[in-house]
Amino acid sequence: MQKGAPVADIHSPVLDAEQRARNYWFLDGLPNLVTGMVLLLMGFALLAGQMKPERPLLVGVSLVAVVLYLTFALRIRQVVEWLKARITYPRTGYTAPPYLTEDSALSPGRKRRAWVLIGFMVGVILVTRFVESRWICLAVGLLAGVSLWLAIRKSEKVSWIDLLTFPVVGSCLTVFPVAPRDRLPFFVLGAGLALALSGTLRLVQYLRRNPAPSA
Amino acid sequence: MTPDLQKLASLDRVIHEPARLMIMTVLFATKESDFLYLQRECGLTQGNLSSHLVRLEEAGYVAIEKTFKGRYPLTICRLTRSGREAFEEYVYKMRVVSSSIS
Repeated sequence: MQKGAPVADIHSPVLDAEQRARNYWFLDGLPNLVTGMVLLLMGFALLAGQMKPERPLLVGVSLVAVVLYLTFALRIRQVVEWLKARITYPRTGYTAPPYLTEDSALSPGRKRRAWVLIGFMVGVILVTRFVESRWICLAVGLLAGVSLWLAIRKSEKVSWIDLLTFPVVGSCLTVFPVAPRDRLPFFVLGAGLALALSGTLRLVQYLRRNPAPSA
Repeated sequence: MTPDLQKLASLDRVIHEPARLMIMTVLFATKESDFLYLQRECGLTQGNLSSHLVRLEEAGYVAIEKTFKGRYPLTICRLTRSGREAFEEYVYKMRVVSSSIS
């Protein structure tokens, strides 16, 4: 055994504390809720970009969706921190969020996973945009659901809502077909809705378990 | 007594106390945590945690900073460089001792 060897070990209390701190970030559902809202806005922005609205009101609404999406997407971390400072920290305390405790440089494994994810997203965009058959939506939905399950199955915080989203959206797009160009926005909207829903449920549970401290 | 076992006598007594060991472990694992988070993680009372933090701060192992996140006041605690080194040293000695016992 070498002095200065990593303290973190299997069954180490340090690793356990690290894991608990990482899970704490997601405990209140706020990151899921805000990410879900961003995806919903992105879906609306994508749909709005494809519409040719004739009424000025529709043009205004689509512009607002695009501006809100860009604002939220660029400031997502600050929005989550702002909400946590008012909801979470007074109730259960503050610990450094995972992006502050982890090394900024991505490990080779993470880089590989990121590239696989990007490749998968590009594949989904191309397939859903250019393949006419509506059954492709079901196939993509099932594949996305299985991939998501494989990616997050070890996480304690995996929710059945997150896992069922893509298969359900894929099934809906198969039963009620839309134009190929509208498929991707609907997938994004479905993912956003699911994340926002699972985040809201988690937030409600968290607020019930941790009432506001008395002044 | 074996030299390995003699390391028991040289264990850092500031860290060796169970409550302080819990605090050091949580702070080693997280970059920084506030008083309430530490209290919940370690299951200590306010007074108990406060006195142990003062002891660790006096030893130069923990830095305490009072700040705000939004309007919520936070007492942020983090390990200093010497605190981190002392904790690693403590874990190393405990491993040597436990492997010589078992």
